[in-house]
Amino acid sequence: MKPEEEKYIIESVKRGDTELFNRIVEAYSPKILSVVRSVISCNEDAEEIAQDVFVKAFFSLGKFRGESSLSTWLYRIAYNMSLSKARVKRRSFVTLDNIKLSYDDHLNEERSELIDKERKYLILNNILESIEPSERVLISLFYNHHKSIREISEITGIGESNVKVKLHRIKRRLIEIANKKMEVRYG
Amino acid sequence: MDDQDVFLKDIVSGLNDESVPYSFGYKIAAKIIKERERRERRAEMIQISVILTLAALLITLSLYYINSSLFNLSQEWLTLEGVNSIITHGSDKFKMIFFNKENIIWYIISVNSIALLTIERLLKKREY
Repeated sequence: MKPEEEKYIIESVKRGDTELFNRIVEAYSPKILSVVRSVISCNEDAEEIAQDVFVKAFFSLGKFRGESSLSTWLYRIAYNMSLSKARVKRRSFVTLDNIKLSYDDHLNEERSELIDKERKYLILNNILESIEPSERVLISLFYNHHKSIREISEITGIGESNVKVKLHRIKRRLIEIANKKMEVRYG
Repeated sequence: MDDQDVFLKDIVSGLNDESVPYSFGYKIAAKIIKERERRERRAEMIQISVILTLAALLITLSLYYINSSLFNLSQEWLTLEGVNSIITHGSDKFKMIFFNKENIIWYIISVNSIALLTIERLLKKREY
């Protein structure tokens, strides 16, 4: 959505034209659902929270001053709401339905011969499960949503240098965990 | 992006599910309507509570003022003899308070207030 279009829609909704809010929902639903799903495993819960994100956004639009982009503001609401829910409800496991995987190319060829698709799902599942929800969402914002360090800092409220350090640690840990899982399995 | 980044991207891509269920937008709209109604009900309850509290306070102060300036009832009156005495002398007091030339202006003010409130209510009803 273009910034001018966003601004027009926000001003219209503030004035009472609530129908236009649907345009915001249509434009941002996929991204917000993706962010929430990176934290919450249960699809129904994730959809419920994503709906609540937009409801909260609707009633808080009056407070939106435009200091950040609408996208960042929505991501921030999604980030905060999904982490609050995750603290209440511990994530059980990521179901195979939630994982979309592409690969073989990037894994070691010898190993990839041994690993069939289902086992790979489980391994990756396990790897992602090994990190905290707050770390999962950070790494997802970086790789899946292509957010810059500055944008991630705005969304999460964490300082930029802190974001860099956290991302570096998460990446290192994921690699370690991934290597360990592979070694344990295949010697 | 180096090999590690590519590998990590591969792992993390499992978290990237952007599918939107069919009735997602409708559910949001329904929730917004429900939330709006809840907020309106809450605002109305707060308004009613404030008005009732102020009205109760006003009535209490009025009764206190009437008692201290006219009846001077004390706790001693809260006996059977006291109640009998109130009934006996009460009618005289009643006549003195309510059928008094000086009170006419208060009657006029009260009637006007009631009339204005009634008109306001009727106009509000017509608006909806």
